Amino acid sequence: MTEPLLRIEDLAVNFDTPSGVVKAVNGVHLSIYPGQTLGVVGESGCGKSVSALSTLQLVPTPPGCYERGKIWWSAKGEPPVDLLTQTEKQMQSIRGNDIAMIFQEPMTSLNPVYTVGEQILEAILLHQAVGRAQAIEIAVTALEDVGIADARSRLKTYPHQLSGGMRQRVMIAMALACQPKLLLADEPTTALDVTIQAQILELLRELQIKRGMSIMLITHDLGVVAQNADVVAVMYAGRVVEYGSVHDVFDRPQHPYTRGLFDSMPRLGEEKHRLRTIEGNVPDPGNLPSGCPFHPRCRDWQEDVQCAQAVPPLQEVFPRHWAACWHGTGCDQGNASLADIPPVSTTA
Amino acid sequence: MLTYIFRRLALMLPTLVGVTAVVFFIMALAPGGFGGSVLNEQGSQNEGEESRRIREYFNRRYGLDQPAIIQYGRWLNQVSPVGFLTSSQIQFTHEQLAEAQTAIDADPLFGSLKGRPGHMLALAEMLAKYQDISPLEATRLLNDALGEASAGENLLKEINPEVEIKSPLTAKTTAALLLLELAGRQRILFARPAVKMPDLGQSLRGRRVTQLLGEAVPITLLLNLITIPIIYSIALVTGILAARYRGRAFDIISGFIMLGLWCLPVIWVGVMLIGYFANTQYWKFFPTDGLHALEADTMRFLPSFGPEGFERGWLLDAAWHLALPILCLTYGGFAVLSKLTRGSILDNISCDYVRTVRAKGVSEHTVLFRHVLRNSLLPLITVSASILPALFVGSVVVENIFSIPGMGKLGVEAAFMKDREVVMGTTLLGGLLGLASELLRDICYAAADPRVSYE
Amino acid sequence: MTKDLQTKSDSALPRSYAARILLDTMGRWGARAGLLWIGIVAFCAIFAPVIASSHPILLQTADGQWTSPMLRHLSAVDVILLVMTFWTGLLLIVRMWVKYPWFKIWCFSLLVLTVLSLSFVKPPKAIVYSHYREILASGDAQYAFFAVVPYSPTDRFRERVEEMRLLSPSGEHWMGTTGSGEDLLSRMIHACRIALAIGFIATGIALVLGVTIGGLMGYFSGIVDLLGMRLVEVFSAIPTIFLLIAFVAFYGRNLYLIMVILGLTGWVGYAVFVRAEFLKLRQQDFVQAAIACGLPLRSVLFRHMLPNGITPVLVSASFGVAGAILSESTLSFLGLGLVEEPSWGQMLNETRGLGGSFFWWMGIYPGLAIFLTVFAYNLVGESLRDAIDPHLKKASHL
Repeated sequence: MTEPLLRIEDLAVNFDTPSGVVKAVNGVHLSIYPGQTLGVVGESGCGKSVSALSTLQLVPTPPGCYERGKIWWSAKGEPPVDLLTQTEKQMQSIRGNDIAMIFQEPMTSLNPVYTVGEQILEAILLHQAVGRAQAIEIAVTALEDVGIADARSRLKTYPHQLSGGMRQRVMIAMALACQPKLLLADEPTTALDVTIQAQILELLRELQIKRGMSIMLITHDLGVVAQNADVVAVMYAGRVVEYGSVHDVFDRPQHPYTRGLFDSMPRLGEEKHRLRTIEGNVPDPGNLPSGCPFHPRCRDWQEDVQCAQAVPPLQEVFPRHWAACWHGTGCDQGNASLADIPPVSTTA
Repeated sequence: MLTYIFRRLALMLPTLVGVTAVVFFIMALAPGGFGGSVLNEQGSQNEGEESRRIREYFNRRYGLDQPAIIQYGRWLNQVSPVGFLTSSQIQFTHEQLAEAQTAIDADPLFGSLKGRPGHMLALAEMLAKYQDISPLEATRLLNDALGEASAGENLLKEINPEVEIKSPLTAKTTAALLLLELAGRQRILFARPAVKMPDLGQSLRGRRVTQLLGEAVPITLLLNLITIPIIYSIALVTGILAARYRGRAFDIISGFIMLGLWCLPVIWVGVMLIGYFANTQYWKFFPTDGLHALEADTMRFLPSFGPEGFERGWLLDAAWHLALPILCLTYGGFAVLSKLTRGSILDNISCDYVRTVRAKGVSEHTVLFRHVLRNSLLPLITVSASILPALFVGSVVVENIFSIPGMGKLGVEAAFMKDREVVMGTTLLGGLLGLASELLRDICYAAADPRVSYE
Repeated sequence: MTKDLQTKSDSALPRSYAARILLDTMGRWGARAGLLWIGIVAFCAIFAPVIASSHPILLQTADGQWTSPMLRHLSAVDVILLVMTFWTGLLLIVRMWVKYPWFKIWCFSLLVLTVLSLSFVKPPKAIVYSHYREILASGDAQYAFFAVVPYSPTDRFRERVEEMRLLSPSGEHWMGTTGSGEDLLSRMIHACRIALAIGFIATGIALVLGVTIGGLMGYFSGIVDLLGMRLVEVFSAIPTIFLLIAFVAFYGRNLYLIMVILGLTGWVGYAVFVRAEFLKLRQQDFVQAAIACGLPLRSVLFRHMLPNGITPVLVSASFGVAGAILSESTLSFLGLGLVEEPSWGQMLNETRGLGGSFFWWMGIYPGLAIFLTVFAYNLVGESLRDAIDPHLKKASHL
């Protein structure tokens, strides 16, 4: 078993808003291994994006604040460093170089007043010791890699002259131009047409295999996770509620929330019946319910004292399959200590 | 792009016509109307032959006896570079005049008015211009008119249908009357459309409006050319700093000061500055008025040490005179712009693309100056178009407070005098300035923002 | 993401949009400070003849008779203002307990009062201010009770003009006297009227014109829009201050004329704004529905579209009031204002005497009044804008 590339430990991020402190992320544990794709699923507002942004220290810090936790980053052969304690200068050398990120809105994520080429070159010239001519070659290759034909002339176009799918490809090319070891993809396909979505995901998969990088794929679409991820983490109200390999989680979901998500998804080959929805609304992150944050919406919840009073810890319910529920089924292996959470292998 | 500019330039014409029409008819329809103060004052003091003459002279010079719409048409024709020539614009060649001279000398009839052949030639020339005929022809016409009383009467009636002829005409009276009627009278020659020099007319006091504007405009331009860079540099620096240290002391204090400066009336600031800093009662640091000291012409350009010690030189003298006016002109502008800059940067700093740039590992400094600032400047370009006319307005007040002979002072004084041609001249130039700055803004905007194109 | 969090938590109480905006605005300190100053100015404007007047409020003549020269010298406008202030207060107090169409009653009584006072209130034309001082000195009057500021704005102390001119502030004349020997404080108080009236009426005219023209342009678009835009272009290309000066110079100095002119030159900004709003609104379903229902144009424009597009216009209107006050004082400063009525700008103009002398009290006080009033309106405008749109901060007009 190798070291995880990135390990998030008990991360908590708060936001100071006029109406009080909002706990956007509240004790998240995650880890990503080299070459692995981690799918992070959850409703909007559950803390997926904030977790990813925290990795790069990109949470806007006047309203936001890193409350506690560690994000261990281990580049090849070096002892792991905590990204949250890195200085701004050190982070700048990691961002875009070791860890790159692509965002949800390709329409607004590129600077409208600079050409595509200038924006890609900026990253390359910043992180690689190359001249301008060489950097242009790298940019052209990057654009060709993401399937953009006639890459050299595309360098001179402005973002507004490209379609949404093309812009997302440019974003990916920009992110991958410096050969990062980890790509944080924050809902990269949500704003795109379904056909374009499939193309972009396919592209990501190809590039991953070719370069052997890891991907943290944030999405609210279980189908996307099933097709692209090796490991899946289901998040709810700022916490990971279920964690395991895609097969394990999809075959026997342990957390009632995960089950609810599957029930609300249509499946092929099943008799038509009304899809079941999860009752109620996502809780207000500024005012979470006591105990398990999911209990007011939980179908399995009876007048169970524990559910409303204590937050369930993430427990290993099956080998390498964790869930945070007091009703945990499966074999009871006792509380796994937080430190060795969760070594799910890539070869599952 | 070029076609766009041409189209915009073409569209400026009807707007300019509209602008001048509004101002013209406001003046034309006003009770008392044009030149009121001069004409009425003189009329009331001395209601008699003298004032009637003056009134008639002005009527002839500006066509005041005609309806307002015709007066406006006349003004437009005068201003337009393409239009009908007026009689005064015709130039005769020396040969033509020599021919007429020979005719006058040869004719026995003119002999009766001997001793004044030059006089006769001038009259013939005037007649020729007015009737748009050659000097030789005019000489013949004049000859007939002087020779036969009825012919003279007809000619006079042709020039002014209202002329009253009481006693039978002699050659001498015909000549005198013709001279009186033709003096200062212009006629638009519809048969002669031509490309000509635009003419802004004559002020009440007789100077050409173009000459007056030629003296005033460079001064206002100088004021604005000094003001604009100051406004923009102060506004950008404070705006960027305020946005960068958002919510900190600098932001709050500068925001408050800028709001205060924005509300400070120029008239108050101007008066107070003069009162306290240019006054022997308090501190006589600065001169009260004008652009230069009286002896500025004899100064050297740069400061130097002469026989009488330090001489400040022309440049320093001008700066010394301009300090207070420039202060008055700038503070309002940079207050507004600084608030705008800050707001614009803050709008941009929370944009998605900034997050992308940060995720690339770009330093905060580069994020702010290369990415955010470039985008934040776009709304500032839009505002700059309204700053130019606003500066013109500002200079109206400032020029009047500090007695600087620029466009603003010229315009206000002309309005006081009800001097129509000068008011129209300043309006035309002001309107042109406003429209041109709008066009310039749109061109700059297209150059700065690749998303905008006028193809 | 963070935006989601923020918006979710401030789900507002079920109040009308206007009420919420108003409440939010009033909660800001800027708006409160601004409104406080405007309130002070309004108080001075309404009660000017009671606060500052050479006419004694009560006068006992030698034969023991009590009279009130102050009341006898009230003009029709004074009477309308004073009576309507108390009447409005009364109507509003009664309304707290009983619901009734108070606004209609208010409008009606304003009309009746205007007609009555214009026809019956006839203050004496010839005013001799020195009369009171003479009879008090000679013992013809036993007792006189004066206003707080016992000088009328046009009281020039004719009996001792020379010594009264250009006095610096003292216990007797708190703000000094002008070049004609008038008390500056009294003039300052009476000038509040012009400042307030000019601001409101000129902006009102500009608003009505701008909203109507802009609304028609936005609603009809096409040829109406094309013509309207040319008109807008023409008016925005004329330097406003210059048009104002030309207007006043050629048509004479009349308060109402100045108001109308300021209105006529100020509508362009509102028209452009409303046009843009209406162009957007016209595409919306509720407007299409209103048109489809066959509602008359007036109803579609003013009942359905206007309330949805007017709020941002009100923000620029409050800046417009400040602008109008500035314009009036600039005109007065340039010597184109009213002759008889006192105005802050005109006092400012007298600061500099012949030969370069400088009378600071005529600079400081009126200038400060103009500044504070403009500042107050701008503060209110800023608060209103922040209340309407906390995320979007754009400066409308300069």
